[in-house]
Amino acid sequence: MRRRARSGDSAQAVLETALLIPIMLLLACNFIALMVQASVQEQLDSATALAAQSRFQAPTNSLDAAGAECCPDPRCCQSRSDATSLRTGGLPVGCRYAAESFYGTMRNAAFLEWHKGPLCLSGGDSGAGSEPARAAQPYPNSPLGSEVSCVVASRGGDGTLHHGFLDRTLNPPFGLEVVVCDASARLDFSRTPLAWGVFWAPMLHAHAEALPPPFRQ
Amino acid sequence: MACEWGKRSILTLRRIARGQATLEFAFAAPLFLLGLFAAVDSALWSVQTNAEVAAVQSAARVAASAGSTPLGRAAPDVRTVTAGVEAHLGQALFATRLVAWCDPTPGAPCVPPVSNAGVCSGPACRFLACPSTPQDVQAVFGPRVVAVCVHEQDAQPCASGADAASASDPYCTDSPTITVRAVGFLASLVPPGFGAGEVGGELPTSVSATTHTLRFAP
Repeated sequence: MRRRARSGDSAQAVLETALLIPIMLLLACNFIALMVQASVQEQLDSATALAAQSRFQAPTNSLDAAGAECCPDPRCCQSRSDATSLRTGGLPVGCRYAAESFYGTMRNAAFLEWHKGPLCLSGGDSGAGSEPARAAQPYPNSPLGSEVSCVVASRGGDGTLHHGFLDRTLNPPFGLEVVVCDASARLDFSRTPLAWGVFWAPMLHAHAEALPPPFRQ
Repeated sequence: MACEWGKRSILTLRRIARGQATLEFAFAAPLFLLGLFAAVDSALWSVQTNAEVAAVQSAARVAASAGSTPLGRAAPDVRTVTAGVEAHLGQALFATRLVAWCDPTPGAPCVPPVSNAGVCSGPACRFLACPSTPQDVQAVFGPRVVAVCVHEQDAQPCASGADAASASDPYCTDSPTITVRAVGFLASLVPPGFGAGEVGGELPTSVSATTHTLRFAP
């Protein structure tokens, strides 16, 4: 009787430990994953903000010469261009500057699965009252495989005016034209050592707006 | 007699139970501490990394507009940029020293002079470029040090006196690019032998921000 009771106790202890170890490690793993997510989100926000602001380091109505690429791409500089390169000939220089700032800042992001879109867009309206919201449209020759998308105003080579994004929360109800950059990516923990204990893959999104500096015409 | 036997077996059972509890504790306590330290350490790492990201972003903006004149093309001084971010980044880096990626020899310039032919000699030449790995910083400044480095990359001048970009030379009118990097090892609770740092108690970090400099049209 006594021996059976003792072996029952040991079995219970082993079971408790067997339950405790994975639960503890799982908890620690997921907490680390949350911290990683917070850090990557911060980095994505920073890169997107720098991309939006860097548009104003470029001349306002200047267009890239034919043959220009982001830096040249991949991604963004320090290596030869390839078929996936972002070719920016004919697009506002500000679009390329935005891409170069974004990629230069997001260099260490091997575990992000990017949601790609057009690099350079124009127009768009945040909408307010009777004015409906409108999405920005890509420039006709914008590369489509970019990890950051920016709405940049410019005057095209043929004199066509491409508007920036009209944010009606600024200076209502008329709004102000701003530069807007967006980037989205899924944080894929399966590419990290946390893969065995983290079973979620959060979608990260960064949005940044930049206003032209007041001294700039 | 039977009473004596009963007492003895109760005592033995209690001793066994105590031994089992000690054994369980010996298993559970390290696991609990491992989980606790991992959680605390990842939170510290996250706070420090977020502070670094914000600092290099702000440093990149400072460096991008820190030319001595609006038309100047001189690279910003890394010591000035580091001093600019040190006030708030220094508070967020627990037990980690923040330095500028400059020659630490007293009285020495930040980077050694380079001859007109572009030749540099001596160990201080490593400060001409940003450190490529945290180990490079550790080799110069020791453990638990994060170095801030500013690198300016100028565009090639336009060919044969042209003042506009062309299809064959599309980048010659670009403003220089500034990259600010914070690289090194952050202090942490990682024990020695876990492979993250050279000497334990540290985690590698490498954060950078790139932007074009602000230049006014002449």
